[in-house]
Amino acid sequence: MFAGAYGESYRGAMEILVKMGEYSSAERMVPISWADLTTFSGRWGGHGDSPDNDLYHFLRDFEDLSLKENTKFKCPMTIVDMSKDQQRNERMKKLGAKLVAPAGASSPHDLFPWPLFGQHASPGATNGTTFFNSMLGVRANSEGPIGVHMAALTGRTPEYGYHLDKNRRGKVLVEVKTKLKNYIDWAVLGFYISRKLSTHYWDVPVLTGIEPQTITSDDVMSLCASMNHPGSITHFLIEGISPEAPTIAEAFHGKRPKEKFSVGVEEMKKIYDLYAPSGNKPDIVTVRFPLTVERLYEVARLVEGKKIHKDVSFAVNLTVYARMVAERFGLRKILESAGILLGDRQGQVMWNGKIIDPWVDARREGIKTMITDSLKDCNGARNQDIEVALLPSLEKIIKTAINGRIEV
Amino acid sequence: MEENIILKSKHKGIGGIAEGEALVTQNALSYIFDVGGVWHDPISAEITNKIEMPDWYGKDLADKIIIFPTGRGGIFSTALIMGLAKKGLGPKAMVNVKTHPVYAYASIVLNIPTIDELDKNPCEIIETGDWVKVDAEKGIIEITKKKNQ
Repeated sequence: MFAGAYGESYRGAMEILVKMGEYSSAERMVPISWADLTTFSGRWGGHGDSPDNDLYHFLRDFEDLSLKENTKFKCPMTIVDMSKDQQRNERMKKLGAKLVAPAGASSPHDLFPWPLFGQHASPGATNGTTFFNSMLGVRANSEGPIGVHMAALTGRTPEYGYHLDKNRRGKVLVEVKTKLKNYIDWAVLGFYISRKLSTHYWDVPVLTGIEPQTITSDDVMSLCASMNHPGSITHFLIEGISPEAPTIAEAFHGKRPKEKFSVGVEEMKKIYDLYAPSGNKPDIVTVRFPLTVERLYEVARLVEGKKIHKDVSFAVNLTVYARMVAERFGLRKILESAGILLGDRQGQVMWNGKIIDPWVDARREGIKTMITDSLKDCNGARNQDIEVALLPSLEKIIKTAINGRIEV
Repeated sequence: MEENIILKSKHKGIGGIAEGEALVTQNALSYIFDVGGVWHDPISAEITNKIEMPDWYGKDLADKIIIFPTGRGGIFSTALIMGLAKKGLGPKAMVNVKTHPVYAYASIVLNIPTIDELDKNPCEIIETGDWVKVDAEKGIIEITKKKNQ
């Protein structure tokens, strides 16, 4: 492929992968079982003056070349269903991509298919990559859309980082010394660790002190999401949960940790304080971490028969499965009767009668305060110079939306 | 007069040669979470994240040799570096302790000179305002301290 014997698209892709391999001191390429471009299929669309325009066209040029040469993705490939761009859907199908639904685009809740233990893969979503590495024992780096597209095309990726045994072992021991009461607490724990290790994220943290029987899949997904905000922890281990960490000794491959720290009540409070609300009137309230079925029922219970305050915009995101349950069992009606917007895709809220994405539009739309359950929002929307505050429970978030007053 | 300082990488870098004024931080950088200038009109590479990037708050990364330990969270940084670079607002070169793969792939396709795994920590040796020449092909950087300029 590198020599061009199979066409220019494979050669171009392999040239990029080889450069990455040389830079990361990889000794060879490894075949991958799956690649996912779900997270870059038009969040901002690559249209008009969108800042992702150039990347969008860079990948489109690769697609054009592949179509011209009739080359296909050499491994199973998933991409978000761009129902507004049927032409692109058809193009991707011709290239051999499978299509998936858009909700949960940057979370592991809805991704399909899942790679398996020990397989090399190229996941697209940042937190999905962390989930696959840490919870399933898949071998993957967080590379972004260029690396994923080239890996999907060639079916190979350079063997560096978390594809190698030596880099998957634990390096830092993290003692969890506090009881975590809900998924937001789990996000705060991940955020604290991620921040602490942000300049050396490759030093794999191993979490101890967590009772395996008490953690849920929602908690784990929340933890994986925040491990990438504000740092970039692509792989971590939990003693007794992660397949590569049945014991501390196995997690560290029998070696001693190079660093140790603990997370208790004080450390958790530091993060909550960092994003504590300063005012009392919210403009937008959002439950941004996609609602799973469990949380969908919880939100419905909290809002049934009530109304969201007239001056507050309240939006939730649903996983594909939760959306189906909401439709089928009448929960959608409860949420919409209360005045909640069920966004079509991650990140949407209603503002002044139109649907916007606060990460992009908050500043120009004059939004001042946003209340969220997501530390990713705290990181992302603060870039818009607005106040984004984290509340510690779903109950407080919903009370805030109903009363029009921030509940602390 | 003191001689220039040379740091050597374990391997070849990405891209060619670039030189310019250094902008140094001890914090990991995220284009998606820190460079809010991409949403401004006109677009810029201005840092707007007070919480995670207090030392670079208000600074513009365009045309600078940026020295930072590594990248952090969010694969969309690729899109934003590319969007800025195509408008002439990208960094002149990147020097890291260890380059995050998201940034490495962006540098490869944009041909931004990028180098990491140097024999000393560049974030400790280089100060903002120093003159830095990055020769990615040879895998070295040459630093002229600002007091010697």
